[in-house]
Amino acid sequence: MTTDEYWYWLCNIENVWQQDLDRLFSIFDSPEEIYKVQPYQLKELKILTADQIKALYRSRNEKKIVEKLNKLYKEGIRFVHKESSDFPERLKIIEGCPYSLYVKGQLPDNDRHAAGVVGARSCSRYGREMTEVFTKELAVRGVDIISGMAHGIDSISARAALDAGGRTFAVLGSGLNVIYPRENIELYYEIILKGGGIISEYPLDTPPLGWQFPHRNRLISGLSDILLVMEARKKSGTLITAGFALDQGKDVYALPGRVDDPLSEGCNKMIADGAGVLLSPEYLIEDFLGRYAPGSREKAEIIFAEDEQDIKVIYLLLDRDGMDINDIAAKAGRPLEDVAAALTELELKGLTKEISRGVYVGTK
Amino acid sequence: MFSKVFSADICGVDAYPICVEADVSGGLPSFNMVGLLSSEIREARDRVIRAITNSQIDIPPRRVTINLSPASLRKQGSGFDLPIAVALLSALGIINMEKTEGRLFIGELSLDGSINKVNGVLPICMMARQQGFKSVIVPKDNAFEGSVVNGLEVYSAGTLSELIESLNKDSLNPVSKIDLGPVLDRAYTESSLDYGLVKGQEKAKRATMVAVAGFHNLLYIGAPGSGKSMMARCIPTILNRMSVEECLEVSRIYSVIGKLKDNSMVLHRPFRAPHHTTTDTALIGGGSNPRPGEITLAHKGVLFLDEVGEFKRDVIESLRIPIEQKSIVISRVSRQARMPADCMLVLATNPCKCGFYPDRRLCRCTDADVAHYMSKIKGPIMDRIDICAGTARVEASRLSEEMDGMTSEYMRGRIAAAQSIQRERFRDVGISYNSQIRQEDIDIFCPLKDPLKDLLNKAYKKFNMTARGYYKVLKVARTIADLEESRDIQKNHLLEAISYRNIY
Repeated sequence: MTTDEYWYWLCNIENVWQQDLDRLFSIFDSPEEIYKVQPYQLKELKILTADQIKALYRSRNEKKIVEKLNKLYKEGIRFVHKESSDFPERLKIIEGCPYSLYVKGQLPDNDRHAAGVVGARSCSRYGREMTEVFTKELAVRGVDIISGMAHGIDSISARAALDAGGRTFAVLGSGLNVIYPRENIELYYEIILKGGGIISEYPLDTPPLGWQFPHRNRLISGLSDILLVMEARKKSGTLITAGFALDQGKDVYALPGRVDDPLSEGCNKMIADGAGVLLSPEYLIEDFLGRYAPGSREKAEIIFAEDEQDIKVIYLLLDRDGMDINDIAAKAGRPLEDVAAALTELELKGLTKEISRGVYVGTK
Repeated sequence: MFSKVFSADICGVDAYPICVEADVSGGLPSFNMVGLLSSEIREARDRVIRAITNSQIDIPPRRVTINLSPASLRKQGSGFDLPIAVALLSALGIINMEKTEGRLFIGELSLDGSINKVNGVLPICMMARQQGFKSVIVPKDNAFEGSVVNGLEVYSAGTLSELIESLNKDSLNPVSKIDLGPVLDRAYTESSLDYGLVKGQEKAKRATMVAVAGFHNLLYIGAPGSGKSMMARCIPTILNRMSVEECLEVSRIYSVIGKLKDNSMVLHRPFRAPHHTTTDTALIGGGSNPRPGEITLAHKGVLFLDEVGEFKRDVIESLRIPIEQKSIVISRVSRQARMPADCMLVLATNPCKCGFYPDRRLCRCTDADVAHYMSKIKGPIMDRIDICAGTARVEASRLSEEMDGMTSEYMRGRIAAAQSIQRERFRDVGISYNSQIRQEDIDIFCPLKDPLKDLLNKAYKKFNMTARGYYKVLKVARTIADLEESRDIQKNHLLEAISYRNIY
């Protein structure tokens, strides 16, 4: 058997978990050694329970192992273990580094900037918009965006990164083939299609169990250079991720919020404890990448063609807070029906968004 | 002796003739009534006997049998007192039997012999004209309902003795006819409401104008106090005048439930705004003897559901079919009532629980909260909404301005023009408004040039529209083009129509 196959075997034994492997590797040097060790020797070591040893020996079926691994490759899933050349360097140095990963699509490049974006699942409009703004600024500058593809901030940042033409990676808390939450199926494939990847440390078919989510969060921070915390309650999985990031020595930035908003309580607390403040996209870019080059908002001049000057006028009136169409029309001094048409056209171009009926914000 | 006269009963909002027979024969004195009668009709026995006696007429001790036919139909209501009395009196020879021929009697008797008001006189008169009855005798207090039915003699009677005398002497008191046209004209423009008084809501007013012009169902979304209800309440001021036929059709419904006010027809298009605690029966009609619900009472007018998210889900769901079919059929074991329900549905809702989304100063709802709130009205009922309009919170400075923007009178003019274009277009199709265009006819009535087709397809993709949403945009675009008096749908019409799509 090849090294890959030994690794695959070792990482797929029923009920043998990471901490068991940790203890095995304190004695053995490679999966191959473990594969070849005799049952009575293992028993004497008292590392594994009798059931685990039974499972270990039952799974030592060379034909089946090779078959399963090949099946994985056929489905376009890569199996990457600690000794693989493409195992992410960033992960090797973190505590609790997984022994293997399953990957669909790409893995983040070791020498490319990466930023983790995490936050509440049920976020506010403020959290949503700020996530879009900050993620886009990072993505257009070639920074990989890492998130967990959960509801809320996670999906919003992944979506924003894709819309900005960037790459994004999702670390799942379930098996690669278990898409959770279900609604994100489109996002899942788009991430892969646009050069990013889906990553999981759990074998295929692992259901999304509650404990796995905070556990995988160490990989989100581990794969990133910095972590952006967009919105977090006082006690939340997001804060767990931030804790991992700090332990791993990553810079953590938190989005400030209103003092009495429970959704911002966690972030504000982190700022008080010394986290970086997401003052503005410019500030973040300068702090992180060292310099700020103008973003796309200034590109308005180029976006519009000669014959689109009338919708450009409307576009330049918009802000990020949301303006009522009646006010836009009053400011533009144009009839409402024209303004409505212009706004729809802008929306089709992806330059505005109607956040509530009749209330428009400028995007980009 | 045997005699028979005609009367009528109501089912739903329709009347149908009932034959009342009386037989007086020898044998032990008795008074029997048969013919599947409800208890109020069975009680008629005592009212009829006392009313006749109190009109100084003696009833001889004979065997009296009253039969209401068709015997298989259950009969209800107190309007049979008078026909029973007339049938009995003609069987006794007190009323000349020939004088009752071809006549239809309706009225409730008081013990002293006076004839009381009953419900449903208008539909009965309309049915009598249709069925070829010579004349109808109605209670004096219902005379005005007979005055509007042309081509039918209507007589009114105040007391039983007066009726007996005038029948025998051919000196019945005819009800003079009224021409409804001028009455409707006079009533049309009188209203204390006016869109000119609604400040800073030009977009919502524009959306309302489009909706009314094409008779599209409408939804207002906006913060509390932003004027959703006010906008809705003003809708009647821009609806077109009711035609005489429509007035009769609507008044007939109100006649059945006894809600014709001040001896007058319904002269304005109805505006019904049931409270959100209402039940599905109250909304769509029902009861063992089916009565019209709010949706029928809003026929040819507006049914406004304020705070639609607060209605019980099954209540809202019950509206789906009647809104689609413009009528409601209520089936009971013994009969079926079909009631009209051709109304414009207007809904209003807050955008979220607290109502202030997306105003960051006031709203703290999360995206999930907002989605949950809107999910209450999502789905089938939203599918029937063509135009989704937002009402804006208005800055204080704008409120103090003088009348600004469109007034009701101006909007009425534009709408009338757009509607006459539609009437012309649909002359041979049997519909009147753009909202009623059938799916298979969309390409005929709402053709798009190729670049516009591409635009709509792009929007369809970008905004995740449904197939139904796609067709709705086309119909609304057609209405906007009509408002602008443009033969073809232009780019701006289409873009504006897309801006009215449902974004929730």
